[in-house]
Amino acid sequence: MKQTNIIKELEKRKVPIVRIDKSLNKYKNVVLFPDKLEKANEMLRTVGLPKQWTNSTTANSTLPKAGRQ
Amino acid sequence: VTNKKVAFDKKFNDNKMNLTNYPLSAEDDLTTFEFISEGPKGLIRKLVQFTPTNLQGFFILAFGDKDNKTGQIDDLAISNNNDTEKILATVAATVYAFTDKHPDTWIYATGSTKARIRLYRMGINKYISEASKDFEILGQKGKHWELFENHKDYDGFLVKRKKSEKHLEK
Repeated sequence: MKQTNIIKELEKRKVPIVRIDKSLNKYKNVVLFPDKLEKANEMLRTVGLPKQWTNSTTANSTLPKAGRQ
Repeated sequence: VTNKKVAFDKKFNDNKMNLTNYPLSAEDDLTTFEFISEGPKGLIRKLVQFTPTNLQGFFILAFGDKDNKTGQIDDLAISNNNDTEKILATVAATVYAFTDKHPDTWIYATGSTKARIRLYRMGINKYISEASKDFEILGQKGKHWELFENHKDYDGFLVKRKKSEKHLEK
């Protein structure tokens, strides 16, 4: 495949090609953005999940289960 | 042969610069991604992380610059590397990669500042026609959620991957 075709193919892909880099494993279970996490947990506590999804029977089947992971 | 190889590598790298996304690396669970922004300010390492919240299956998406000297992550940095669109496209690509591996998750994103939130909204606006084929996209305004609409201000955004044939087969 020519180089230009490879470039075009890469541009068309929605799911990107991701290189696995084991040096990034150090970030597993490490919260890099604690302020944003706190903000999101506060949002979940005060605002909750969207009713558009939680009220729908079909959406209910895909709801995440409540509780800390 | 060596000269040809050098010329090919140079041409390939020049073309790579024109790609809409930066090349991505990640750890094997695809929750933390890394890419390198290239621009007039040089090479800036960026980290994108999908972090689980108190609600199972509900993640936040956040990204920032990694300081090469201190290793600290800064999500308030304004790098001015003239590649905002490419960065947003790359972050959007991580959402595809993450939800491909973790399809039944909700992803919440908000900016560190009003200006950042507005920037993210503009990013979603740009890709909404394509993204809405693959994702449910909601906007949070105060204590309310609504279907994302162009040109409306929001406090945060929530996306969930629509079920694809690939995921239904699993």
